[in-house]
Amino acid sequence: MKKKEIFVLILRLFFGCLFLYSSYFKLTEPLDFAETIENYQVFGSWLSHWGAILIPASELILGILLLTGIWIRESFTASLLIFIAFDIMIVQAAIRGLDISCGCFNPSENGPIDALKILENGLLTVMNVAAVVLTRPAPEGNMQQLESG
Amino acid sequence: MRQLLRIFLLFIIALISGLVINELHPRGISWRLLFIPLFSQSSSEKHEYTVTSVDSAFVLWQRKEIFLVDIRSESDYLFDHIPGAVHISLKELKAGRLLKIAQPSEREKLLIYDGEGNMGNLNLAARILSNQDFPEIYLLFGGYMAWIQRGYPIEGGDM
Repeated sequence: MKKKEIFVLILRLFFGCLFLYSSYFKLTEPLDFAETIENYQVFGSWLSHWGAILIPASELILGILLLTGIWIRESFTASLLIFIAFDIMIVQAAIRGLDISCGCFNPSENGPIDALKILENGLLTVMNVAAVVLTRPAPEGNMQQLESG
Repeated sequence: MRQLLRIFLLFIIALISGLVINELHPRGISWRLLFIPLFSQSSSEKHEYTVTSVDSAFVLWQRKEIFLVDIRSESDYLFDHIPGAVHISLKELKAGRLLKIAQPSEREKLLIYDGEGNMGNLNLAARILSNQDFPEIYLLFGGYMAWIQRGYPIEGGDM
């Protein structure tokens, strides 16, 4: 197994488990998660409720897909979109000085949004970008070379 | 292009799964609340709510014309409450829990009460329910304490 494949496997397992863990708490307490989204004061109550339905279910499906190895690149791309959205939400909350808890992986977590939280999410986004890049399909020329070789 | 379609499909599947899970969840978000812009009326048509005395509330209760909502803590409710009242926290009210509990016929007239008639809490609860299109909302002046002081019936209290 090549180094690249091992690295992708580690990222798949890491993000897969992270998404399953995160979705579990959000799915079991949808109202808490809806309130967490609403606390960011970006979306109203109505969109927060929809977010509380869509986001945990997306995380659950992404977790399953990443762990089972189905649609890997698509799953990493979708998770990157989610992480970018989370990053924007967190940074805007920090800039506006909102005194709210992140609720990123568990709606009942009480950690404030500080530089460490932004760094943590930034790091996850970078890891996700790496995963998307590493799972990029090989150019056709290389494929032909591989096939002929 | 195929990747984009798959990502789109992934989110569609997630949305459908999320709605199914939410429906099966006992504390899930009410459907009506999810589609509230389709149901709610314009702000000018919003329903009013009325602060009512404990005696008027008692008459409505006797006639069984009113659905009672207790927004005190769950432990207070379990200890004793007005007979027939259901307990719902403010958070649950906000999530449309009452829409799931109350039958359409029971939604016509609601009486909300807390411990001592804290108008901040009662007004908040009334605003939430008004936004969910409950047509007639009454707030109990003096709260549960006033009900007890008048010697009106209660349920529980034998713990």
